[in-house]
Amino acid sequence: MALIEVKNLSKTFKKPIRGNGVLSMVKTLFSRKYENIEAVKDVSFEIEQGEIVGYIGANGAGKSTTIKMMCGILFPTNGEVIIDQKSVLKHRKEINQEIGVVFGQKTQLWWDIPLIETFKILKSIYSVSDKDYEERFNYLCDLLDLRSFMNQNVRSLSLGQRMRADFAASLIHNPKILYLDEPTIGLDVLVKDKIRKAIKELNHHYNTTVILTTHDMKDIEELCSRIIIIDKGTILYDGSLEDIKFKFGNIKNIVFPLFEDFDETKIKEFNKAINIEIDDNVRLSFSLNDVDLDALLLLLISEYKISDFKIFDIGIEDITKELYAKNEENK
Amino acid sequence: MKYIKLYFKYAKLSIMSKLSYKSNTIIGILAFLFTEITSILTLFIIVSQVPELNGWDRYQIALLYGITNLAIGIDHLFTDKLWNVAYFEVRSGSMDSLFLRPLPVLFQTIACEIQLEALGEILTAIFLIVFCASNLALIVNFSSILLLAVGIICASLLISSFKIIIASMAFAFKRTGPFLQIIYNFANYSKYPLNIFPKIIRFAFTFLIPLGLCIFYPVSNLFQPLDIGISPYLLIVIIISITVVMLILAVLIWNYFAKRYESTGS
Amino acid sequence: MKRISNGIKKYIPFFRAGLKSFLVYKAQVYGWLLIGIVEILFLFFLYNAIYKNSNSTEIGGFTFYEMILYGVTSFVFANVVSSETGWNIFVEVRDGTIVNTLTKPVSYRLRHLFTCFGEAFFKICFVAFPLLVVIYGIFLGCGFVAFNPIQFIFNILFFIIFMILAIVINDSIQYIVGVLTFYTQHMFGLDMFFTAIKNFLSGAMVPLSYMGMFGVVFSYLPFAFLASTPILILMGKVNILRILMFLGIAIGYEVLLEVINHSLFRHCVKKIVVQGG
Repeated sequence: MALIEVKNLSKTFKKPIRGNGVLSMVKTLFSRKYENIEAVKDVSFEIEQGEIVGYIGANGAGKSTTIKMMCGILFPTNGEVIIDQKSVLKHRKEINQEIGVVFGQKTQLWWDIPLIETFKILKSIYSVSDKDYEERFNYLCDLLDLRSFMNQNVRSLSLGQRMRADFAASLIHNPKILYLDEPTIGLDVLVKDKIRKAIKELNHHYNTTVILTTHDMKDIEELCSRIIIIDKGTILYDGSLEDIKFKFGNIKNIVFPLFEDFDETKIKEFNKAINIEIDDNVRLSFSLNDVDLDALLLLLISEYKISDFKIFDIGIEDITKELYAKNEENK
Repeated sequence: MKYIKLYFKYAKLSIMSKLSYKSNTIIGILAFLFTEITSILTLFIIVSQVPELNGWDRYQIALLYGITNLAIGIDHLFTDKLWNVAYFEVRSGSMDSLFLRPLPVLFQTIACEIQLEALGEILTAIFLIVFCASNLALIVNFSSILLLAVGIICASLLISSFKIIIASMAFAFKRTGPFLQIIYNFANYSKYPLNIFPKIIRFAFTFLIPLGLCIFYPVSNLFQPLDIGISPYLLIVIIISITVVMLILAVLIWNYFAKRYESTGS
Repeated sequence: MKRISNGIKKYIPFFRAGLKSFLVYKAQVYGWLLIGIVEILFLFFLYNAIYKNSNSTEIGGFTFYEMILYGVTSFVFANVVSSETGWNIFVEVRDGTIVNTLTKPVSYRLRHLFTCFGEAFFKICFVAFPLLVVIYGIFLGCGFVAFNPIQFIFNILFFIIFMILAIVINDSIQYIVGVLTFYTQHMFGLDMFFTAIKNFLSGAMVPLSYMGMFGVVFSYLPFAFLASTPILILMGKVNILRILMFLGIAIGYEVLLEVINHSLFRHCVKKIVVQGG
């Protein structure tokens, strides 16, 4: 059996319709109309023990809504979430013992007191035995480098320190499942790297199942063996990272700095399938199925006298963009 | 047993948090102290316009006021978080973290805050009680003191019960703070001698929001033996039973609404 | 003149913002009304008992019905003369968004004043005005109180002037409280402290005339202009000479408060700059 089963999950919110003008606001004082917003529509997937799954989508795509339903703090309008063969809504306390949650923008740490106290009380809350606590506490401290600020007040920690601490706090009871909602938001590259390494190491060490939402595609590329892409509440893609790269493969990008009197007509004459974007740089993107790369490079060098350029494979970011665009077209 | 230990741990952290903002805690205590002093002065000014209010002189009225305030202050000290639940925490989604822990949510809500500011209320109440008692000839014996003590504790628990019930409704209706405020304001008027109110209000304070029962009669009993046809001991039993029933009801209602708690969407 | 009107135009958005923020929660209005009805009901019982236990029909210059009218007016008036400015400043300081507003070419003080005007405008139009019309209609119609019609019209005009002054003075005091949070980083206690002082000294809870000599002294403090003075004027308890004198005193206090605001704010802004980074 899969560890997590998400079955036909849907969530509809009622949102009051508010006008902008002062007059219409006075009207809402006396009556109010609602519109229905389908945040999540008929989403199903299964996750096995030990997987690291990236759950991605644009803002408002329904990521957090799904995660919250998987935690049991938001009720599905339809469908259900089953963890370890138990319905999340019916067995709250048991499920809570099995999950750890980090919401990137909200801390679960006790704000005004030394960090160590949070760990101590979490030990009691989750009834962690002394021996297990010792072992895990030391492991997490080393992994995330927490010792230097363990006795500081949480409110005086930097965002990076706080995030690492939050991450450790959600793991002190050794949950089977870890939900990370934008765990690297607002962090600098070094801290991001540390957190990613920790996630990998932890997954390896305890076989913890990790579900993470993120806007940082590097998180996905480094961590996730599987991704689920969601847009407007429905799943666009569910599968391995390699597969999707292959599907959208053969796409190349060439980027070079924009120079004065750059004229794109010759490129367009050469091949219409090349997509040209111009800002500070010129970005050409195309599929190798349509375009002969050697000929294009020759053209760039001979006609445009370009010596400084870079060639990229497509990244996951472009793929999601493509997917979103296709989804739009289909409507 | 686990919960008692946990309660003290939560309480310790709450007090540590409060003490990490020493000046704020002191301002808070002083604010309550000052608010209480001004409202006591107001009461004194009003009742000093007449020699007696339906048989109660101003010291007796002030004693009743102080004892009611003591009960309100005790509740305030232990269950202040419920105000936040009723006003904003459900709406803002900050209750989420409580629902993610393997503990009863009501336990966490109550345990996570010891409101030291209530000391301002409790201190003025105690001072007022001592001051009035020294100006009055009170009937002090075992039954009258026991009745008073039980009354104060049960009044606190009753206020807590009402707060739990109304705060829990915020899980379904998002914001019930104003209604809590209404009940609280209503309860505030049990500080005045019940006999100045018409029958219906007296009935409400005796049976619906039984603060009058818990405080008015035990305090009257200090001035002259009760003439309501029951002995102090029977009254103690009645007060305790009502309180227990209310507490159980409050927990049941809380659990019912907590099942309907939903986080915010985004 | 054009410069002034342009200057004011800049602040219209803040006026509208204040208006909207109050409109968002209708429950707030209903909740406040319910609280008010409970308060006034109990006020009625309390004073009923007081007057029944008294030998004379007048206490502190008020008959029983005048006393109730004073209490009701005071409750409605307190709703108008309230300001979120202190809390708004506190939230801006706490979240650090104050830096954004300080870099904009608008006066920080006027910005908050106009937000307060926006809220007050709504409350006057949709809450206070209809309520006061109904209440005074009932009291006059039933003959509980009697006013000379011509004098009453004058009283209303002066009341409106004093109400605007009360809103401004109250907002200035709230502004001081807000700016003080630069130091305390805590609002609840500070606000409560000032509210307690205000409620007591302004005569909002009990008329100043109940307080003997102290009441006379209090009536010359700035707080009196937040409740006692305007309400007494509306009820025709102040003669024209004293109204004019109070007008001068109120304006004097407001100027003084703005001077304090200005220097306090300049002093405190430095603190933000030091903290920033």
